[in-house]
Amino acid sequence: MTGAAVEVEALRTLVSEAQRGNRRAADQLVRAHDGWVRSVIYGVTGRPDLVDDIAQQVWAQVWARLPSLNDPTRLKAWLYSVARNAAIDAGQARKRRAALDLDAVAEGIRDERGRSPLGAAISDEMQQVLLRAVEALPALYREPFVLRHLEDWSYAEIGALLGLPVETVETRLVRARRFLREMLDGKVEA
Amino acid sequence: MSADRDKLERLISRYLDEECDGIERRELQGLLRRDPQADALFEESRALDREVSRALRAALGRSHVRRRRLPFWTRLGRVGMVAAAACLALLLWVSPGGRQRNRTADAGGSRGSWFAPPPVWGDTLEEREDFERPQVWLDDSERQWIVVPSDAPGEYMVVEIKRVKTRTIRIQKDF
Repeated sequence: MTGAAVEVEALRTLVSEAQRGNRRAADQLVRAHDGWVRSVIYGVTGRPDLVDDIAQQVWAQVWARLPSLNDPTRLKAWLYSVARNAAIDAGQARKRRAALDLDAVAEGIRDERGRSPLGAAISDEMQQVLLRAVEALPALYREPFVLRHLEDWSYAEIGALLGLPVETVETRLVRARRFLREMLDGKVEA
Repeated sequence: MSADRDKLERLISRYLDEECDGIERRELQGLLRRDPQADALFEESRALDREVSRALRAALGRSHVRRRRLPFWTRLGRVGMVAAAACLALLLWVSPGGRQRNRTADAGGSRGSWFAPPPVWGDTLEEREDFERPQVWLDDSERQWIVVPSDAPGEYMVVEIKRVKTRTIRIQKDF
């Protein structure tokens, strides 16, 4: 049996154990996949403050729907679609709330919290500028960019998850960097 | 956008993402040596990548340590060292003296687990039949520890999770 076949068999066993309600297997699944699931959520929404809540919803949905996963080898693709859909739904819900002007109140509170001693404030301000620039990237480019920078994945790994050819991943990363350079022109010192 | 500029951006992006092969790396180095503008673009892109990575990791409560893909021979060397250590451990365990020591230790109730050293004499924990899953929270900390009991009594696996602190906000308006 090859190494890949052993891995597939181990994944099959782990998923079927989790489907039977084995707590340990479920813990193992969360530990192995929670990091990149969060990166996907952030890649789709561009909002770090939403990630925790959406990740909780995702895992709740995963446990509810896990028995319907017939092919455990498709776990990663399946998790990706659950996470992506949950992030898109949350984004739409936020837009509806913004229409009711409730988010303006939250933004105000966030601005108040940002006031801190000078040194921390400068670094915090820079971080906020960078995060706003990433948030302003089109989701098309933000998703591979976040997976590359948070998960340190190769083009092939990113392409496999997003269902894209390696060349497309590469092009999107080049364009994401170009957008960021243009948006942050002169704000980051070399 | 000129074709040269497009190619340069692509090479820089591939280099920063550790996707360049030897030929591409040499080509990029040549371009940077010859053209100061190309060099400035490279430095700007590298700084931007570093700062954005740092901001993203801080925002999502991740460590700043980047997992770098090591060269093939380094990885092979590490695998070899791990295999040698495993063989040595197996030899020690298989040897009659080693097994005798294990039996003696088991009889004394001081068996160590794969994730924890054996307890110090006189510092043993009392076993409980009805243990629950304890969770330890540290106030004002970004760390969360989950203690998971193993199948064997008295053995626990401690999982440390670093997370962004949950925020509490004051209610500004009563809706």
